[in-house]
Amino acid sequence: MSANSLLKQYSEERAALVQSALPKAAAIILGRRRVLSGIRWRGDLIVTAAEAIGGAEHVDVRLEGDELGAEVIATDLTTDVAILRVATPETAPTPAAATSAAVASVPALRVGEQIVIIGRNLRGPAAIWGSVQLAGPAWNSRRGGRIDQRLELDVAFDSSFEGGAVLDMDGTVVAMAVPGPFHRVLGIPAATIESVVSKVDKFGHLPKPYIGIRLQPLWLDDETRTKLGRKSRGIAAVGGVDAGSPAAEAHIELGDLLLALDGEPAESVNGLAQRIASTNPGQTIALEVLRGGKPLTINVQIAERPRH
Amino acid sequence: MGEIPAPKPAPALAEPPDRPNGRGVTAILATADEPFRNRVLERLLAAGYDDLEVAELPARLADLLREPGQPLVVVGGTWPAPQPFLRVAVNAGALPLVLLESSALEAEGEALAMGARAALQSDIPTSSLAAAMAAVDAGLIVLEPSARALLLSANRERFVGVGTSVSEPTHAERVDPSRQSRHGGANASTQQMDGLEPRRSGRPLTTREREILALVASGTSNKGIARALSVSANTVKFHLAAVFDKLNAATRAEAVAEAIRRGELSL
Repeated sequence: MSANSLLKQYSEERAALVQSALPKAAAIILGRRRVLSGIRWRGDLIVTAAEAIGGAEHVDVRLEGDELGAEVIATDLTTDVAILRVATPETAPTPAAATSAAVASVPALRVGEQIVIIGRNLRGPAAIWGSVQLAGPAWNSRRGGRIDQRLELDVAFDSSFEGGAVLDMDGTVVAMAVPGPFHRVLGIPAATIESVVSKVDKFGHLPKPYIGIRLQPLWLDDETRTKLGRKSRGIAAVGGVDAGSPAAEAHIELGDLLLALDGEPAESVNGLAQRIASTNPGQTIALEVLRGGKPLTINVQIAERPRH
Repeated sequence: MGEIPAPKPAPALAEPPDRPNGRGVTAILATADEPFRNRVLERLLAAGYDDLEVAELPARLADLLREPGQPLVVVGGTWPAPQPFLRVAVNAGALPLVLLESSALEAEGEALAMGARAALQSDIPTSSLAAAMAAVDAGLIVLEPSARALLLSANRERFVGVGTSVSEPTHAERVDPSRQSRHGGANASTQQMDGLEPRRSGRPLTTREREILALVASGTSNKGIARALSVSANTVKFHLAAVFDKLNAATRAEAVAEAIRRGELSL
């Protein structure tokens, strides 16, 4: 076979692409039996899968040639993004940093595109090749998170690649690989990760939006539904208001029926949870409620879910 | 052999359900013992299934499943000999109930993994058998109490046990390993239903469990929760296991989302 055969070039390029990304690949060591992957995002911040991190506070992280302690500084269960801060960032060479601007210019993946997932385990760095099986529009996860693009990956995945970097053929980190339902492999897009990272940059932790109401889904019979002019048969009723919460201060009452949030009809408890999850503390939302048969608009300022 | 408590008479369940189109429950008898088989057939007759047909070969079963009619009985020899029958029944969309010669957790597990809706000892009381068949027909999965304890952790509410009362047959689901996975996870029923459907009435969380889950939702680590509540990290894990169980959740995210849907956790 000639030295410059296409096959050889192809193989060389693939290897070079993987090599160039290795400084970004981190092994997250949760215990002797559980090691997952992570992505050096920028500076001393490492991104990995929140669900796998569970309730851990400190983990060990292995980067190229280094094993460091890391603090779990944020876990966002709604997007499955966890952020770790490694203890001594100087010891590892900093890879080309992801910046907000760089991430914003990452092109959306197309179905059929080739990708490679770079991970790391205790035996070293690892790569698996695959392609984009599905590239859909932005979606809301059932956990209440807004994900910028629906990405399903066709790749031979195992749990050591959970939290690994998904690279496109330019070598750009376009997503993080996480397991999805029905053995699917999902990509959490770089833009979604960046939105979590930038909140942590801004606040030092990840504030979780909170207004302090507990909701119960109710069913409307057709007559009531028509009377209220609602499309959906479901409606959320306030089943509790936390003392001292923004909802309590705004005088939301037990039994209020939630008609709309910021002018958009409120249908399910899920939908409301997702919309509140996508707000930021400090922001004011307008809740339209039905109380005693009369509609009423109440402004509520989003606070942060108590952490202690 | 696990003893099955004698159930209360369940007259309402003794009537075979009316299924004009489709085979419904297909009982697969896993025994090579003729007298034993006859005893089970008698029980099935006594349970009200009085129009039974016997398929001695998988091909015959496939033919029978193409016609509407009463629940079938298939004889297939000692487990695992009846596996081809089970495969045929699952493929035909029937609701197979495997009756084993004796209690064998391994065989029960295999049968369920292959798609059986129930795997029971054949010598259970007639009323239990009738209840089990009615439950399977209603879409539930039925397990022996011993198997239940062993096989189930988070998905308990999806099943009904022999000798226990039959709960509302709403969201019965087949055991599906993919349910263990993330982002869509433990609750395939909720995934399809937009959270608006009336929920199964689950066991409510305790005050402590609610406190802990609220801290999980705020992103607090287990140790952080332990510090905030002045308990040990193991206590936190213990409470969380109970929370996952009650909420039928496999992951922290699922537990939080489900608690919000049930009105147990504030937004």
